Amino acid sequence: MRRIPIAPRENWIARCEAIGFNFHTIDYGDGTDPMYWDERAYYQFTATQIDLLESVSDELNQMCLNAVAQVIEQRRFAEFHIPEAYHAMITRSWQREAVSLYGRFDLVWDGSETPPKLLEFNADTPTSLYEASVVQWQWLNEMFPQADQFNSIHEKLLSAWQKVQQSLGRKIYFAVVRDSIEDEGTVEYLRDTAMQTGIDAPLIHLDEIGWNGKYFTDLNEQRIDVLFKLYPWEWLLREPIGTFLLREKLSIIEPAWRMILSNKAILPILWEMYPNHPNLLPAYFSPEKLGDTYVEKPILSREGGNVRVVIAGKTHLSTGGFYADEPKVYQAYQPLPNFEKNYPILGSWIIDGQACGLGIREDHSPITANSSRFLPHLFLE
Amino acid sequence: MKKSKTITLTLIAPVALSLMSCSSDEPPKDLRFNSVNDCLEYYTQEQCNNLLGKAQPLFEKQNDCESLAGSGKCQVVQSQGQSYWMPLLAGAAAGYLASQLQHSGEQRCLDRNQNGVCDDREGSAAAAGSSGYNNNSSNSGGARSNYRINIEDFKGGTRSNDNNGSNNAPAPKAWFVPEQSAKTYTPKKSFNSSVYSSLGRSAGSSSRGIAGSIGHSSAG
Repeated sequence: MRRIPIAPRENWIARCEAIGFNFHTIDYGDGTDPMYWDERAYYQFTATQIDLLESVSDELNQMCLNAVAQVIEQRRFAEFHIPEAYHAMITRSWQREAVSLYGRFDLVWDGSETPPKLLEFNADTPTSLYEASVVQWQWLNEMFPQADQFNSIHEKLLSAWQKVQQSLGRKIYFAVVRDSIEDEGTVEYLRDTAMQTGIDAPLIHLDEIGWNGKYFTDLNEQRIDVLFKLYPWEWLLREPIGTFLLREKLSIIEPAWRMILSNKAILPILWEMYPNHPNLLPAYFSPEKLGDTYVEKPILSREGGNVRVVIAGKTHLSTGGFYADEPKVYQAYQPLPNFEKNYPILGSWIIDGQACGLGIREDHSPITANSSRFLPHLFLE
Repeated sequence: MKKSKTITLTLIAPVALSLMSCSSDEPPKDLRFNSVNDCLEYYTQEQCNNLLGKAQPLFEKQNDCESLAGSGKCQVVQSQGQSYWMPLLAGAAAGYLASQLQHSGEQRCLDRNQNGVCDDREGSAAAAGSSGYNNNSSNSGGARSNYRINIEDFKGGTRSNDNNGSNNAPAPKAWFVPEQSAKTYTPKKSFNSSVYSSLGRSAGSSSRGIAGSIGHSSAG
């Protein structure tokens, strides 16, 4: 695993926009480097390293499914702070094997003999999908067409949608919040892939979803039976339509049981079920067993919000966010590898239950936050 | 191989990627030359005469294109992120390009005869010896590039003033050579990636995709 600086394609902005990728640059309004798609460097792996990432991701995915089974079987919802009203819905969605489309593991690794470690699993609303699937693929084809890339995300999405429509039917509404270019881009890409498999895929904003007393409706009072939503479950349940979701008149992607995996309480559960597993970091519901060095994470934080790194008893680094009041979990501190003050995190994609792609985000700080940059990768035999 | 073999987008960018029928083994073969010299890097003079004689000219300005092809006879196309104006194709060639735009992976055929059978046995003599542009749209072959050129007029992509033949047609910015023509000859060396054209029609305003929803058309 090497980080190799390289001149960006001369017309890289035009190339990105030619494929509808318009959030290559993001103005955070605080003077942060606005470059999000960053091809000033790329990461190079060996085939052996990629094979390892693939098998580790597949194994982690299986472990996660086993953990969900245990949580549901033993009714451990309290540890996840999931209100009782939702327990039955989550349990039933698991029991009927409600289909999951995708998820992204965040792994920390430097390519060495030390095994990759799981930081967390974005199992409900993973983003950076289009970048990983299409944008870095385009970059590879234009820069290194002979090289390979761990990225069959697009192909796996197409086959996943074929399975989805067999179990849920051919009409799926795609819900997204307003005014988020990044979310819209991700949802438009998913609609694109769904439509290519014959799915009727209308776009709907979350606030346009109605409830008529019997079922959910769109703006034309047409019934919504199946909904893809790029919106966290726990937020959805707080929306005006949230209580009606409990009537279970709607099939939702990701399904309700993914709430267990997108909640960081899964980290101590995994460590308990698989103690000392080489790809897990020690994690607990309280910090004592980790001594004076650990990372504190809210169970429902996203994009690095309210994470606190404690080293030798001192808060070394902490991020702001909306999650300060959430219950916390504690994970052993694993520094991100430092490539000349760039700290990469490896996003390993699971589509339709299979590891199939890698997207790398890099930050100038050791905690990956929302202002990270996406870099392409390739691997050589 | 762990990368997607092809990626087609129908909503977000109907054309941009569909011509990137790329795999590691087989990069796209449609070519774009910015000048005669560009072509001469890869082919002999005679081969370039033939190739560019059958190529479609690409213009930066609509006026320039229309002064050659006629008012309303040009369309916007994109190649490697740049927009160009290209004469509309007539007859079978239009069908060829359209099908190429939609079905990048399929066998490409420059000409089909009335029975729909691929018929590419085009003589290449037409290009040689003609001077300046001749709009040969009445050519019974009818289907391939209708714009014959004399490449001697376009050294380095700029039309020389002292040999401007019979009209004032402006110099094209680049030349689009479809695969069917390009593969007539074996190039002297492998192509620079900038030669691959990935030509696509402008997405325009037809899509409700990302471009439309946030007001930036990829057409530029």
